Amino acid sequence: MNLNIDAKKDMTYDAIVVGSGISGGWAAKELTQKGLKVLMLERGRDVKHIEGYPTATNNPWDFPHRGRITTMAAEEYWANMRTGYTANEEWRHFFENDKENPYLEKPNRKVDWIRGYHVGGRSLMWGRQSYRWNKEDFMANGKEGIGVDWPIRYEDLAPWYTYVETFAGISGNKDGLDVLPDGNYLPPMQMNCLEKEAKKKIEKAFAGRTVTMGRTAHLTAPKQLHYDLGRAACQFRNQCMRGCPYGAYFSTQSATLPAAVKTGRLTLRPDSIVSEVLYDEKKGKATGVRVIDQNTKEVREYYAKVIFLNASAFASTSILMNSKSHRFPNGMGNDSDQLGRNIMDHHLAAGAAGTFDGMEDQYYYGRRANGVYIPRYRNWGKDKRDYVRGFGYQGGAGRGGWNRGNGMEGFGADFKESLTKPGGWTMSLGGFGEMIADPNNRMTLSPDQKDKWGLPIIVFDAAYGENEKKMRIDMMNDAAEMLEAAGIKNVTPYNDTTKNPGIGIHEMGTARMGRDPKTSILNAHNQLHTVKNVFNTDGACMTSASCVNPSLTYMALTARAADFAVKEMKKGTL
Amino acid sequence: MNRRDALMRVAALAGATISLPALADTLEASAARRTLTGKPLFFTADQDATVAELADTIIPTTSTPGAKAAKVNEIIDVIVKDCYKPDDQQRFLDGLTQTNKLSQDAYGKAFVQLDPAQRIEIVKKLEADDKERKAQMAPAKSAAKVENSQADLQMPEAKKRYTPFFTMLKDLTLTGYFTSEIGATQALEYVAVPGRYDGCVTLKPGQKAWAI
Repeated sequence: MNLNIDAKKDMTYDAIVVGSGISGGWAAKELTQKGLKVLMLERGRDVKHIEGYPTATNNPWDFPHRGRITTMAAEEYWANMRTGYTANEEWRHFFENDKENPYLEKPNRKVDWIRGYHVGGRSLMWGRQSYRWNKEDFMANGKEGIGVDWPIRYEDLAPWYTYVETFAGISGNKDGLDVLPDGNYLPPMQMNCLEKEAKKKIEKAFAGRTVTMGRTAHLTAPKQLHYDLGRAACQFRNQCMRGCPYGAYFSTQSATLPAAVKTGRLTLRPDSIVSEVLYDEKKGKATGVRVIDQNTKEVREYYAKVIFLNASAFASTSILMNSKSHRFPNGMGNDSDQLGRNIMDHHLAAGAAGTFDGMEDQYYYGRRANGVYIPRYRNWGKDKRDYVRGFGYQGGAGRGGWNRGNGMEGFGADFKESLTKPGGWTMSLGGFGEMIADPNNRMTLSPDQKDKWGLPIIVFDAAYGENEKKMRIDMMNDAAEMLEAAGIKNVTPYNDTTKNPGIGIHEMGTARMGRDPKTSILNAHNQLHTVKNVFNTDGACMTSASCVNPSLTYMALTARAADFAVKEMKKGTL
Repeated sequence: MNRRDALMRVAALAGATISLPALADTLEASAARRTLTGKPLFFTADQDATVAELADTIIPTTSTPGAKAAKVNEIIDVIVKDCYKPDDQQRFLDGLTQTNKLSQDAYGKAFVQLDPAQRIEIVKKLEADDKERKAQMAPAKSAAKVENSQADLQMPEAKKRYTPFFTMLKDLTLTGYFTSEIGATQALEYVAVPGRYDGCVTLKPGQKAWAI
């Protein structure tokens, strides 16, 4: 008997964090730094900082297929093939093999689910664009009667934005705009000559529009707190998705993990697939999680006072769905039937591109993993459209490289020599639009199909709505108009209507926050309304999507929720 | 820890033992095998030699070494084997056969036996053939763009838009050459670690394009 009690003691922590990506890393850092003994569970393999980035310092000729995707990989990475870049051999080892981890889709209601199953999750391959939400983003649902109202406001999150920006290291320009609130920034990266020129012309031609430098989680001028974690300044290699050996961009490995390890209170367990959250019917609380070892399939249980679900939106949701009990026959915390509904993403692949005549004596040095940003201006201020919400643009200018030769006629000595010179300038703008919550956009668990660990496979059933479709026309036409105003020639507008939700890799909304347990899953502190010691702070918690990249908001929400959780534990309420 | 320490840790990478997931291991094999044995994997020796000379006709030695010096035929062999579907592989092999047929018809010799001027004439013919083929496909392609048009319903996806031989060859040659060490560091300028970004730099006379 003693043996069993000791064994249970060994399996008991103050807190369990499920997932080690952007939000899981933050939860582990905050909870350990506040004195908790934390177990961080990761379903995939371990990836060590630097040593775990096998292609990080490869030259182009070091890649066996020079970056091309093999037919075998194309077959196994069928969902990743939809993005056009994630299955590339430069970084494919950080993306999930879709054949080994399949999911299902309803006909014509497909979702691109692009995953990273390893320590660090998608924090290693994220786009790093980091923007604050604005006041309106937190109020629009309530005003317009779409979905449910956010239970928090910008003011609730503002100090936490500052807190996470300072630690993560965000480079950006302060523009003084209500639509894109300023944060605590490291120096912005530079625009190139054509971008500077385009900024002047676009801002002159269109009142209320701003072209600014992308705000990104790169250390342009590290502070001592960054050096202390072993991080160094951005070297402008633009090979970020292979993993940065300089720790120059924010990732779990470069930032939150070393900070958590430093406390001496973190236990990290890779290869640990959480199948469900354990529930004590008498106490009305969660007691721990059940874990399947991804290699041995051995099943174990771990116990804690507080559980943070940070497995990524759809994975956290599927864990809750799979956590069935007498009290929760439809999944933990799911009295409202909103669990798995309201899938949102940012819709993209609408914009314009063109060429520029001139500035032939101008070039640039270094590879900037960033572009220019045009914050939302539609349905803002006095502007009113036949759709709600808006979009921002990410874009940039550059000179053509050798691959322009494929579109040119000719071959031989002169052809070769011409390709060794910089090509003409081009500029593009691509929209990122807000997708609104629709309860019919949902995920469920297959009643009969299981994965190789015996867990039910996710079935997606989602599509863009009329609001997104209308918005995309503006996303395309406005981009073309602005490029034309900037003096760009041969402007080609585009609107690819074949994409699925998920292509933005910003999946959100499937366990939304709200004021009312009847219509939402989580409360204002990211606790399950009905199981107060279970928190979720990844994309699942999002009540609406805004049009800006979401990761910075996940960081701020996580730090805020962790602070709340520890205070409540000290009060004895959890 | 300061910047220098961080840079030292990067240097240590070179000696680090790295484990990759299984799939990556098997895919690295082709390139390694080709380098190790020096023998083509997908092509016959004759086909391999033809590819080498075709590539060198597209990207010849000028003030910098050409495609043959950069062993572009080796990477084309590996990419066609591992990254092309059977239909595309066959079209590539048929293109090589056609190249030799054109050479025989015009000069009574295989392509590899032609002199540089004759090779240029044959490659011009290949380029013209491609252009014609693309022009023939253009109406079919635009018809296919109309959703649920008759053309879209009746024509299988692969037939609507396939890449003809010379376009494939040129794409592979440019990729193989400009991503090779010779192409990237001699024909172009390669800076592995730029260290900074300057947005506006006046182009120096004769300055080459950045390799990446």
